[in-house]
Amino acid sequence: MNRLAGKISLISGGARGQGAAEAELFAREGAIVVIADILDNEGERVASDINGAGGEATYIHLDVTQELAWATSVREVVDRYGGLNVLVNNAGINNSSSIEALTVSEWNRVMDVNLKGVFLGTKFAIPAMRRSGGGSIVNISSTAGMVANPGVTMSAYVASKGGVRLITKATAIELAGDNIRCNSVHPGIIQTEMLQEMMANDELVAKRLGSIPLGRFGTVRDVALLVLFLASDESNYITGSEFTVDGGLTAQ
Amino acid sequence: MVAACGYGRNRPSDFDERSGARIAWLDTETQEHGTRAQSWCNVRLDGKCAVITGAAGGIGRAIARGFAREGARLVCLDINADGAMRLAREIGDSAMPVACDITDFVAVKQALADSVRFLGRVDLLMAVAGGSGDRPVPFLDLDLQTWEWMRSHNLDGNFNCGLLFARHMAANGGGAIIFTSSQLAEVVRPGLAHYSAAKGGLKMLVKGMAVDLAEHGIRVNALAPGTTSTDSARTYYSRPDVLEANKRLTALGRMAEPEEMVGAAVFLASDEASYVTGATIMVDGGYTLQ
Repeated sequence: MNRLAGKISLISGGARGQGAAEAELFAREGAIVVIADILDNEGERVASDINGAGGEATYIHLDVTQELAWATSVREVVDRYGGLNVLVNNAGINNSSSIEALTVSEWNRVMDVNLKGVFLGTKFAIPAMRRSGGGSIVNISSTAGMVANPGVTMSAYVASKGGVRLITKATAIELAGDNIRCNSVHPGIIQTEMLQEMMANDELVAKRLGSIPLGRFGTVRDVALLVLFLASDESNYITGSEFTVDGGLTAQ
Repeated sequence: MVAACGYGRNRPSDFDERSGARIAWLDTETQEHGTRAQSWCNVRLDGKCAVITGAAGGIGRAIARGFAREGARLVCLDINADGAMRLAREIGDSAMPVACDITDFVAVKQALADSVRFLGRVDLLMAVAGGSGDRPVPFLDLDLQTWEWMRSHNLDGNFNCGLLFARHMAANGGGAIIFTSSQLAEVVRPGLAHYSAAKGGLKMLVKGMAVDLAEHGIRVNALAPGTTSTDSARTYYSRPDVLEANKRLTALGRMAEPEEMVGAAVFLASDEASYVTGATIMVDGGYTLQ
């Protein structure tokens, strides 16, 4: 199928995990994919795998916390492909310190990547999308941007993802007249590199599995398929909304 | 039409390894070269057996056509027998009409039996039937009859379908249920307390069913359309000032077309949403955003 035919799409944090799954799926659906990350080797590999399979992808080095880097990256994309239609603000980091132990520099780091990164990506994507006649911005938040969970300490992460949830709505309101849609995605517990530590702890895994109605962790593909829908024209009347993909975690 | 589906040049065998969806080969005409090229497409609801309630209304019709396009076989259920029949005839052999008033538990039981006879089994319930009445009613003017009409058409009817079809699905390896909520399950408008109460109840029914039915392999979600340009909405918004007020409340500044509900319905119905349950997808043009 060609659900994203010709759509020029930038995916931050696209070098591995959810971002890489999104990049591969987008390419299969006909998108031109720009993978932006700081993990150069992994990012180059994802791009070359896509190109090798007949898709169209480029890797660019982008630290989402750097304003200048965003300006340059978006300009590169526009110069090379002639516009920008889809931005997936996917880059993110975790932090599992308790509030008491959390340092200010840890707090700042999480906010910089998870929240400032989304702000900057959106800020620099807007003019390019406007010139392209509109677009879709998909912000990756988390169920942790809606509720906090017992037994896990991640206050900085929760706060940053809650911020992502609401900047999404502000963006949607501001840009509705420009035909730029903006929605947030809230994955539950997804098996990725980011959760390797948790996955190694059998007791914790059993406990978390017990909390999910569907009885399994999510896969990166589960999330990518939802992001694909929000990036595509199938969701043309959807903006400012939040989408859980959590096996029923937050339905309880 | 561009020949490529997915990578086009790629082998189809590695496309959808996880959902196991059948990949259909299609002959497509490539305009550029004027030659016939073999291409392939993944039909997203291939092999699914769906029942759509309220199929004869604007949103139901659009979703039924969308499901049929994506390869589902379906029963078009509606209280309006003529409308259901016209739609099923238009879709063809893969669709059958069933006349049913969903507020009647015994009638829904019969409709389930008819559906199973035609489809073999039901693994998809798309419950669209419902309604907001033909005009707002200020709270102090409500009467028991109006309240009960609203409750029975939006809540009881969906409970009847939800219970009976979920029992069938639980006994047959699972499935997916999609209820049709509303932007007014989240916010209220003057004269619609009874409607919001019913849709708000439905919203929690969705979550409760999702939690209880997960272990039976049944996903339960809601699609929440905003103001959609159907015959009933055109009646409801026939006064220009009411229509303008509604547009002002919608970030995208316009009503939805029924076809704009199809993408979300197909997504929730398909195996692409296999990890999505208890969720509501708002397709409201940003109505609940402000």
